[in-house]
Amino acid sequence: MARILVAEGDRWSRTIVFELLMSRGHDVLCATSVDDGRAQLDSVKFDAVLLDTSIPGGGGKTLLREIRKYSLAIPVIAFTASAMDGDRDRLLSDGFTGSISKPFDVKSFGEALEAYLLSPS
Amino acid sequence: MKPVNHHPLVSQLLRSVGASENAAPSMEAWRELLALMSEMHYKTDRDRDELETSIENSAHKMQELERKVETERVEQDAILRATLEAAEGGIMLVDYEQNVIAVNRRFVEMGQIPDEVVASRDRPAMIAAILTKVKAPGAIAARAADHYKTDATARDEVELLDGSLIDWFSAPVFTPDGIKVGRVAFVRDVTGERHAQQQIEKARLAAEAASQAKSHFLANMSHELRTPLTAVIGLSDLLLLERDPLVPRQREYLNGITSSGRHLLALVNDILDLAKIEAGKTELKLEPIPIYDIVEQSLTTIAPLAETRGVLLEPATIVAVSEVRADRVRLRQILHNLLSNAVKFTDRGGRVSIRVRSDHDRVSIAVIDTGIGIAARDLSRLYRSFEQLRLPSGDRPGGTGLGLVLTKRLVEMHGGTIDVESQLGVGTTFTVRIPVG
Repeated sequence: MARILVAEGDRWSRTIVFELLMSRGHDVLCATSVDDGRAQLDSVKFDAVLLDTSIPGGGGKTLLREIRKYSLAIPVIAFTASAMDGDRDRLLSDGFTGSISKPFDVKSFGEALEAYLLSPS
Repeated sequence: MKPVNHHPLVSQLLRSVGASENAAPSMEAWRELLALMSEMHYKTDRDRDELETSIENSAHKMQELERKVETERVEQDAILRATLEAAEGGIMLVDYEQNVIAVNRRFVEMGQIPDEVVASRDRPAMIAAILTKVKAPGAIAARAADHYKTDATARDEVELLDGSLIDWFSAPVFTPDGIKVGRVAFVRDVTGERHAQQQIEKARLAAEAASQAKSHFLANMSHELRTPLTAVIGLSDLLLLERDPLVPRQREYLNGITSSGRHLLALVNDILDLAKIEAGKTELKLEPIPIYDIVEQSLTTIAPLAETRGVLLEPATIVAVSEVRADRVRLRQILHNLLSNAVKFTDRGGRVSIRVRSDHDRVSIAVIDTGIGIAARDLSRLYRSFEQLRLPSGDRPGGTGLGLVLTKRLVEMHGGTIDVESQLGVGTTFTVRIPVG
């Protein structure tokens, strides 16, 4: 069981991910914007962050940069609806631990995310 | 006796015959003296004659030379003048005393300089005349003055009031021993040239902007479509996973939502695929693919559509071939596109079948229908983007209009070919041939 921050701007994506992760026994908190995410990261210690690359208030990169300032170890997984070539490589070079594309497969999502939890960052 | 003051020449003569200056010379001395004087006279006359002849000769030669030089000068002037007039552009040569040494007709025409000004051979007057015809004469005048002073070459572009553009190039003129004697200007009407350049640049920028806008649009479209699709597919999948049993109709409808969502997603992917292929950014994952499996999967996928349209899907015929080396996803895409076209263009009661066989070093996959067929004149339009053939009713058959374009590109990426045979009212056969390995 891990404590996971789901920082996602789209309401329905947030709902689906929240339900899927809760059903797998994780402790899930949600953030809807960069500011919201920052506030939660300041007050709670998370094991991982699932971060919408186009989250309102500056996008995933903005929040990622702030997270990386104080922790290089915490897995931050890009949650992206962009599927252009080179996007994944760019996300990794930006400092994301990995990425999950939208739309995602509901049946395999949990395992995909948990793979990043176990991998040392 | 009072000494006589002789002319020094006389004294010298006297001394040469041994006579004293103050005593009367002897007869002998006189004779000698007279002979000497006679000799001197004679010599002087001869020298003078020679000198006169020589001077006369020289004068004659000089005259000849002068005539020759004049002839050459006239000839050279004529050649220079003809050269100046033969030049495509205008030319003006000036010295450093504000004189115009040479100017050609073209220069006068381009500067629209009055004849009397040209005749004055006065550089400031020429420049002033030109300045009355240009836009921004102040700036041009200042630059012209700078260029007149400099030892370097200079280039300027002058816009005339009539809108034409003049390229004004000038360079200093040196004698062979390096003395700067003046400055020559070459002027050229570059209105057409510049206009053409501007058009090309404008077209290039427009094309670049269009290409960028297209890429940007594709990236945005991908993102914007995927976000709601995530909700459609994800939420219905969540409901399907619920433990509470759904009534069959609810389950069926939810399945409809997810499958439609996935279909829509496939379309989004198709469009992006084509864009990526056309940009040369697609790579294939080639592996041995069992033919039977992939054909069965394709038939299963297309079955609901065939059923809806009342088209019979015949069991596949696979002869003497078990595998093909291909990209699994792409091959399925190829088969799906061909099958769905076959079903769409076949009337109720018609049949669609797949025949796979070995064809030399290739695997030949034929998708055969007993549909409406394609008119000969439409065959050439088959592989063009968004050029969908219409159904006999005039309706569009559905789909993006990209299916065959993508299919052809994908087949070609596999090193294969695609051919079509069709007869109106009888049916159509698309045959894909892909190398075995």
